[in-house]
Amino acid sequence: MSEKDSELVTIGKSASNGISRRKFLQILGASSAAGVAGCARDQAQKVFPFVRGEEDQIPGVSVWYRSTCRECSAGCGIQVRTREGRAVKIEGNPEHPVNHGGLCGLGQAALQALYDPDRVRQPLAREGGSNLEPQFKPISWDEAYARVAAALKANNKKVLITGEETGALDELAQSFSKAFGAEKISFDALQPVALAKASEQVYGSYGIPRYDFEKAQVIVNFGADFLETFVSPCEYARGWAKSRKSGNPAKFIHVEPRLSLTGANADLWLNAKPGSEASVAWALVKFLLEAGRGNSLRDEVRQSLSSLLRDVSIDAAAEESGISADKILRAGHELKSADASLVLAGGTAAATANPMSLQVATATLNLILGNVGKTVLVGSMRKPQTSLARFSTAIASMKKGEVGLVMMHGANPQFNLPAELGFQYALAQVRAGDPKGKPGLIVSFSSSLDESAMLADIILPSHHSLESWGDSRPYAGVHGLVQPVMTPVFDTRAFGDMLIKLAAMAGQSSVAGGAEDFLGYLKASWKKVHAASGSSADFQRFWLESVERGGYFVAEEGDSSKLSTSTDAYKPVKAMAKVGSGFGDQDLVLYPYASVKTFDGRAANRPWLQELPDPITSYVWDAWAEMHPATAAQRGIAEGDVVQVRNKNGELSLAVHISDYVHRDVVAVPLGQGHQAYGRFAKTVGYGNASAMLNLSANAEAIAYVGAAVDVVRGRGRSSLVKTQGSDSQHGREIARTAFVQAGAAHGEEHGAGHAGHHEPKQMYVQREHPIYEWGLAVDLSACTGCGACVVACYAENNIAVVGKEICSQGREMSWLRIDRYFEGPAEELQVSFQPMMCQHCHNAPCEPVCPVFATYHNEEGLNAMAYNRCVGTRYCSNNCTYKVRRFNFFEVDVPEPVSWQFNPDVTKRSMGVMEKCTFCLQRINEAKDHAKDEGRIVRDGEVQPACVQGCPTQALVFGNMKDPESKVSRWAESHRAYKILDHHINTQPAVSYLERVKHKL
Amino acid sequence: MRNSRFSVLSIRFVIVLSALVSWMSPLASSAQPAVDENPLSTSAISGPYKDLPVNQGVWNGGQAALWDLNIIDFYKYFGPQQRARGFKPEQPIKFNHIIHVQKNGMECQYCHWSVAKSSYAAIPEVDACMGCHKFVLGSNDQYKAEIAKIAEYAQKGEPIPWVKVHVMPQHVNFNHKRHVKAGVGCQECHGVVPNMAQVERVSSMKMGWCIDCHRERGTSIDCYTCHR
Repeated sequence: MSEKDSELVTIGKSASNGISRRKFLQILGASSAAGVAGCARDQAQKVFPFVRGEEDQIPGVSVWYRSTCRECSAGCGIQVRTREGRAVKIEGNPEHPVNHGGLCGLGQAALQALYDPDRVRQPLAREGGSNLEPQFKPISWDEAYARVAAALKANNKKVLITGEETGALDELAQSFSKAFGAEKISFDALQPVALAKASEQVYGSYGIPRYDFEKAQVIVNFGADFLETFVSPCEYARGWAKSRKSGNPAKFIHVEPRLSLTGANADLWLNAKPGSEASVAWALVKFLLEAGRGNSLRDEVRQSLSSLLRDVSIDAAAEESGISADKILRAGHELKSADASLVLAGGTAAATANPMSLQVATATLNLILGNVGKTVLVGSMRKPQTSLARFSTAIASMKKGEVGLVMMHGANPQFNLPAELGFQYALAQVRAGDPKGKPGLIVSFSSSLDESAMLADIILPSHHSLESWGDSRPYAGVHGLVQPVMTPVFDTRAFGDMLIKLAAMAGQSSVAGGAEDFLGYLKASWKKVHAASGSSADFQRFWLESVERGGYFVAEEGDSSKLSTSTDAYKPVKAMAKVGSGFGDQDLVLYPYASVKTFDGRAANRPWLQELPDPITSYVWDAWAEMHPATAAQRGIAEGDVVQVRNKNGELSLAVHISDYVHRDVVAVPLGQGHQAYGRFAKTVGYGNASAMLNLSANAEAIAYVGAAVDVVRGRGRSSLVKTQGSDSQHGREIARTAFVQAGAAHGEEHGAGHAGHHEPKQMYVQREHPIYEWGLAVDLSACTGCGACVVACYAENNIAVVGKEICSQGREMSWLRIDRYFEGPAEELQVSFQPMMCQHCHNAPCEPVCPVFATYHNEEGLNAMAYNRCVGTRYCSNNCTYKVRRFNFFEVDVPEPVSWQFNPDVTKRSMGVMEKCTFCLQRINEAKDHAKDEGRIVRDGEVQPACVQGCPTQALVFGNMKDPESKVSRWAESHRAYKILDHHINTQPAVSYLERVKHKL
Repeated sequence: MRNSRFSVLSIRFVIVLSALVSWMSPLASSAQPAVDENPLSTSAISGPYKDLPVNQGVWNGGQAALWDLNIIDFYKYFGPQQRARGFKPEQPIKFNHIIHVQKNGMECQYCHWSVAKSSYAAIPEVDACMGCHKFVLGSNDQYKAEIAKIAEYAQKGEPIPWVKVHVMPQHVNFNHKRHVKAGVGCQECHGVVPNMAQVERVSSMKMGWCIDCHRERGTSIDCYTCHR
């Protein structure tokens, strides 16, 4: 068993500390010294009252705080549930204009960053140890402040590196940098800077436009993983799903060298040679111009375009990309005939050494198709500040020994930057000091000991965003507020407060404009928002209302019509002249891709996300190398072999996953694994950091993720990749169904007339009766993207154990809700289905009659109940379950403090030897019934939302009372698309209905 | 193994004999209390408290069933002592309900204020104690010493580590609010607390005991009502 697994699981331990549900009862801070319920006999349990009563705190009642997610720069609104002063669950804020209530897995797993057992608990100073393995010793805050303030006073160059910040914190950091003459650098590896620059060149304004996926009838996408990590995935997924759920879904064509989750949701997935997307995009520009689109362009623009595109043709593009000319033409015809369409480029596929060509081509496509102002809103853009060019300049100056102070917060450049850039060497030079020999200081404000913090001299740990004040202004009209939801877990400080205090100590107290702390600074900044809002309420009231709402939002501020009508800003760029991929005939190209599991590596320390099966490969707790069968065969590599992927900058040692859905020239690896620091959970997953191996292109504004040539050689042995899904095929059983729009009015014809939704078999026995409630769930497969947000929500809500790779390999993962993924057809006509699978709460459940102790039974509300305290662990029920949704606790999982603080006190923590499964979030049903009883009524439709339903970014799930014919779930279940899985074969009568996926056949 | 089985049986026999008297008395006094409109009111029990046995008005005398004998709970083989009727732990402060409720006429909800708002009946905050005891300093040395302890906790900002009298297994979700709103009085489970100088457990709080009352009142006996 690896080190990681032993952290997670203690086999055969009878009762472990810190996991009792009742422990939360009125506990203030201190943990109970007494034993936990169960076997502890003689120890008396203690009950701790609050010392001071708080107005809004009732023991046993949740308090919700609205805030803004700071895990990526999208700026989704969140609401955090706290119990007895501890954050236990994060959900999307339904009133927030960005995400409308949904939240991705990363946002929900922010709790695990808050309660990370390896967080920095107090200020640390480097003392001894090697450069790579430093030793840190705790120091006092006063000492830490004094050392940094002294360095600030020194007269030399300074660098302040932050993440992608907006709002007051950004203003403060700017003002701080200005006061001390420091270079302020924003760094977020995933920001599509080239896209923002292309907007400047084509639309005349720098920034990432907003995209209206709902209005687009045709989407042509060059690698932008807008359902995963691209800019604002919750927002885009929601818009895309709205179009999918309507009767007339958008036609979605996706071009990329490796099947991503977004590509898997496309109607037509095209496998392009890496770096060849630009030639396809320019061929489409030419085709559309020739087909008569783009009449709104000025003549000189058209002329310059056609002269530039003289040598471009669809055939040439087909040859270069390896996509058949028919398919490119098909995309061209779809775009041509659509009123509103959307062309996008992004993700790893677009991050080549010369990303501007593709980005300008897609922006041009949007322009000539008239999408600007319809689906591409350039009036209120996100303006990323990340600039690799500026960072490179700063690093060069650090290497020269000119910089005396480096401050880092919210970014992990050591992990995310290519090794060739020499960030580590640059920091070593800073430490070595200037030519006079005066050593410089490296300060990290990181909350966790990541790779960059390990290089620091002093660490002043900052609060997590759930512990601090702040705001987020992703685009015009959206002012999201961040508020602390609990007292800090450790002895940390807010980054803003630290900047203000340091500035004051270094004699620049005017930095904060007179504010004593960051909250004061934030309020001063919000006074401007208040003034601009034209609100008649006084500021205090405006502020309180904004805090309560989660921010201040104006509908559709920033009209895009002004920019879209004018094409003056459009300037043909030199980048166009160089059509084609940015690299030569290398053998294999490294293709590191960001995924919902790890993003760029920031999510690697979250056990929930590590245990979440990868949406495409279904691997857990691992990194792997995806290769095409032909490429692998050429090298004599088989599935599961360990290979060394290497170039001059680094080496990865990974197991191979053979897949038809990667290009022959590509070896695809998940980005963000292979940490050498960043906590116990991140450290042991994957070997080697793919980011380090990337090429450095001259003057690049962003990291070129495609283009690094690598050698792949067979290493020693085989590795055990662990996947949770046994088969990729449905074996013709119609478990996840797809209907194609082509079939016309009688759609669904293709799989026979027998719609299971209307299948009413003759029943021999008396049917069950449900007097008041009959809870049911419906899932619209059209809207399900397979992102796994529901799975993470379920882990968070129901105290589900994270067991680690070893135990997952024995098929003993504990997830109550999983997403099944099926591939159908050859790679050229690939159809992928995602299907959330939870307990179906069958009304004729196979598990119930086989339980010898009546622990599982059907209750009056239509729930397949499971009484844990009755279960003796025969596992007959699991054997008999048709859907494989029951999970057995083979082990007691030992959870380190303070991860255990996250546990939901309303849900029993199951012990070893007990069967468990989805309860439809019974605790939420009971809570809603409790409210309803207080008001003397029954539960209203929509009042109960299980965690999966609430968390779904696309609202693909609906829950409610099937006895109420007007309820949303009843209407979904009555839909002609509805069916129940395997019901027509075995008459289980599930309470979960699925609505078949509707797609186009392109 | 066989030997130990035998000894358990014989112990049971002794227990049954020795407990006959003890279980007769609660049955004899299990007459229903006079029901007041407010189930939380301490006046739900009429008459002077000091004459009442502490399990007066407790549902079924605190017994899950006829054979659920007090002394069984005490015998550790059958369960932890803290889950037994009669569990009467020493508290860090000798808080006396007789003085607060009988003498000063305070209602239960004055201190246990969240009982009708939440599933939990709050133990009062240290500050709530200090609200009165800033001024009420005790009439004799013994009281003064106990009250000084509260002041000490309040000054240090530490919670008072009360010993839990009514311990439930963690898979039980008891909701005070629903019971109170349904008109179940405090004393039906907790006994005549106003008459307890030191709080003790008067009912077994075993599942049979809960179910018995639920059946009697026609409320749900679905497992999911309490277990989840």
